[in-house]
Amino acid sequence: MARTEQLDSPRIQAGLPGSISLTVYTDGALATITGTPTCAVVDAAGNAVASGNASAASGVLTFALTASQNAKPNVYTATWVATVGAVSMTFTSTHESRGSLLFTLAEARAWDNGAIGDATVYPDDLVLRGRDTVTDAFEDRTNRAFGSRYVREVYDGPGSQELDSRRLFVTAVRSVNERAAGTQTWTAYTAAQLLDVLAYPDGRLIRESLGYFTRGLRNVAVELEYGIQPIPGELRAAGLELLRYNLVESDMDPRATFLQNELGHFNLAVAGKGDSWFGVPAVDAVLNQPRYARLPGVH
Amino acid sequence: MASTSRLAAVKSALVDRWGQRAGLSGVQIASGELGGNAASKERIELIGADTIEQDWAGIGRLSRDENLTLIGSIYVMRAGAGETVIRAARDRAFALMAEIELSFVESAAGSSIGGLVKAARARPFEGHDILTPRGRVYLLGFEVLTELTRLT
Repeated sequence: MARTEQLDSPRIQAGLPGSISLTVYTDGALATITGTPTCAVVDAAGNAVASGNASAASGVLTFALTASQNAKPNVYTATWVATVGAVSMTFTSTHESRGSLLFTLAEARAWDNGAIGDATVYPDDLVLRGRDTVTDAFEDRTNRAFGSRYVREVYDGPGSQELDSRRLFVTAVRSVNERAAGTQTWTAYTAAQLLDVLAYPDGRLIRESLGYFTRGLRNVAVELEYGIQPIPGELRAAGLELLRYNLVESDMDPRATFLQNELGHFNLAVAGKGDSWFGVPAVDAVLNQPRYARLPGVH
Repeated sequence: MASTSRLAAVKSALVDRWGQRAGLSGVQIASGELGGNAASKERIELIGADTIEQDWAGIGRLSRDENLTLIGSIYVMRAGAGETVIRAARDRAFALMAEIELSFVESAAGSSIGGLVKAARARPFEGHDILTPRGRVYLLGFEVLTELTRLT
């Protein structure tokens, strides 16, 4: 029986050529894929993005998107068709294209005098998944997106000019659709109506002069781009530092609060204690800045 | 020209000469203590605990004979944990020590530090395996001894 995993990061950077991949296993071993596999990619709205022959090597299916196909942040669904053990199988995977990624693989390899520079000990897929873990952790603690992201959300119409998207740093409103109560027919705003929707950094969308968001339940669908773009250098450095501590093993007791050795006496941070999110002072100091503070009950 | 001491010249010359050695490429080398914020994971520091011994060389002249003892430190940090990393740090520290020792014995210019002293040599005197939050460190102390340098 075949199963699949996305071993490397499912995230690629918008505006650049991107490679998406999927790893296929059969009974715990990398599958032998014969013939020519294919891949069809659609965006979050179901629009076709690209399709064609994929490549296969050592159980890994790979498909390339051009820069124009991957022009803007989006969420892609890839449908793969491959012959595994003489049986044609169909797999699906989800990938996200973002305006910026927290750091590059090369930056991670070079960080801290190459602490994770050994690709045998720290394979690419481990580092890339580690980047996703760090990115998700930062976003979870700050409620900010780092690098523009795409989202399609459906809201309850407020019956006023103002709709709270609950997404900070909205940079673009790609579309707004509304439906009447009791129907499933969505009507898109015209180009003029869309231009009339003003996006505020705190997440509010305000229709300036051409009407209001119709009151209703789950009746306003909005496609947004949001997030801090480009990612500040201090955040990128903090991400690299946290990745380094996440991946590299240590003989230190994670609960130790101080250390004395031939080099001196050191106070140590412990994750979850006091103002320390991660137990890494250089990382915690960045996330604890007011500009990244999460406001309780608001955002 | 009269010279009070060759200590400063010797330390600068050592750092310059070591900095040119292929075997020490990438190693941060300094004639003073670099401190805990140094960026490199390998460094050699002449940490400044220097001893100067001078004796009058003869009656009627202002010449002196000088012996210097310079204390140095080799610092090697390796990210990670466990025996493999401990050995890697220690082995590298002693490899750097061997390179320093070699710098004094492979030529006459090396032995005299470019003619600044009559003879010089280096030897290790203590080592420490150290656990740090960033990884395993091996700290190897060494001394550089110079002999009978005539100051005039």
